[in-house]
Amino acid sequence: MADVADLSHLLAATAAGNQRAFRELYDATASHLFGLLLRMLKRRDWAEEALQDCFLKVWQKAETYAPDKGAPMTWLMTVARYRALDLLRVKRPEVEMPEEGEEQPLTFADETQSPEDRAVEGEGIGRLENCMEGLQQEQRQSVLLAYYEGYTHQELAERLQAPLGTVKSWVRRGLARLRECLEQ
Amino acid sequence: MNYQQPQLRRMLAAEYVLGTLQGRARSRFRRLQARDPALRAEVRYWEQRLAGLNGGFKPVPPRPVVWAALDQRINANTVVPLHRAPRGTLWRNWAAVSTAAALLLALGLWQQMHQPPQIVTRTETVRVEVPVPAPMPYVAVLQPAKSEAHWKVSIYPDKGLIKVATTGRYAIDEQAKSLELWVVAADGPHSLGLLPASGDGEMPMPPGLKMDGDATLAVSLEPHGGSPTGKPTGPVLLAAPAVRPA
Repeated sequence: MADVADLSHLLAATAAGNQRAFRELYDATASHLFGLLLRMLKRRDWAEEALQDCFLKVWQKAETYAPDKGAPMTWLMTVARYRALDLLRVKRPEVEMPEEGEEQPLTFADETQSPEDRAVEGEGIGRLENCMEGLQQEQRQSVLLAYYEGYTHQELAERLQAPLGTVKSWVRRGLARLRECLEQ
Repeated sequence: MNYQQPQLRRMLAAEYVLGTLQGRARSRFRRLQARDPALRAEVRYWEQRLAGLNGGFKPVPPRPVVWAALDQRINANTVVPLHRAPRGTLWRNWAAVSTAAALLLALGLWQQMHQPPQIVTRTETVRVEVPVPAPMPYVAVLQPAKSEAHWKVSIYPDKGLIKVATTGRYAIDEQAKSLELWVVAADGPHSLGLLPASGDGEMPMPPGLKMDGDATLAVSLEPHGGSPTGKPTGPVLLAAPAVRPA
């Protein structure tokens, strides 16, 4: 796969309207994005539609990419994941979720730092795996299913055969613990 | 919900990135972060941390029809500004016609895309116009240590040609010594010929030599006329990767 410098260069050229650079960017990254989309959307036609939407957005918005949005590949994968999530909500209809309303969500324990205070990008990613290991099994499973399959709380509850409230707290406690661990 | 409460903001951002923040709450959060840099920073934090999970997605090449349709959509879009710029009806008509043509083509491709997976013969109906540029040469800049001189070497495997441009002069006794250029392959170095100590030139690639993928070039100091054995015998002055732009 092309390295970070190559992809940044291609993104910059794409932002300037260079179609050839855009084609190279597509060639270098489409299979990774498509793999993500297939995994989340399960159907090839949906994944192909999402891939198109995704690259159309990249073509139109390449100039909005900034290094603070992560490495180019991270940014592209993020664009693809959000697109997949949106499509899933439209195409995989489910029982309408009750509005979160004024329900008091679980929150993070101690937060005095802002993200800017923290280490530069890259640090922490290596720790993710360790931190995932540190979660309780249900928490880890909930977070991973949500990330990889795009499951909603409701779908998680069905899949894990647990009450909705329990599943929500697995997700939130999982995220909160993940963050505590990543900050250490 | 009170969007100013820091802990709540952080959890919303985390669930937004994970995807479990849904429906109206998700749309509301999206609007909110558009005008709230601190919230965006929170979102970036999770995007970058959770990206560590992206290794779990296995790459799968998409069908060529996806690029073809995308290409159409892009070029259909670039036609649009033509409507607005010139005032003449002729231009307007042309723009309208070309837009319509592009849209029709895009629609065709779109329908094509939404058909179930096809056997190979069916895909012939899609014209995937991929420009086929001339193959790019391998290019390497060879700079020996402790010398101002360097060589730019371009290798055209398709033409069987090697071009060399020397900057400066490499100091050797040309009566007694020669500089030999090698390509280092998995099975060892193969001679590409002698490098000039100064000036530019071209030479044919040795017959039967194939180059594929990444290549490493090396230069060794040899007796006048080149290595007598076909393999480097003298000191290796440098080795450098030869890059072939995609």
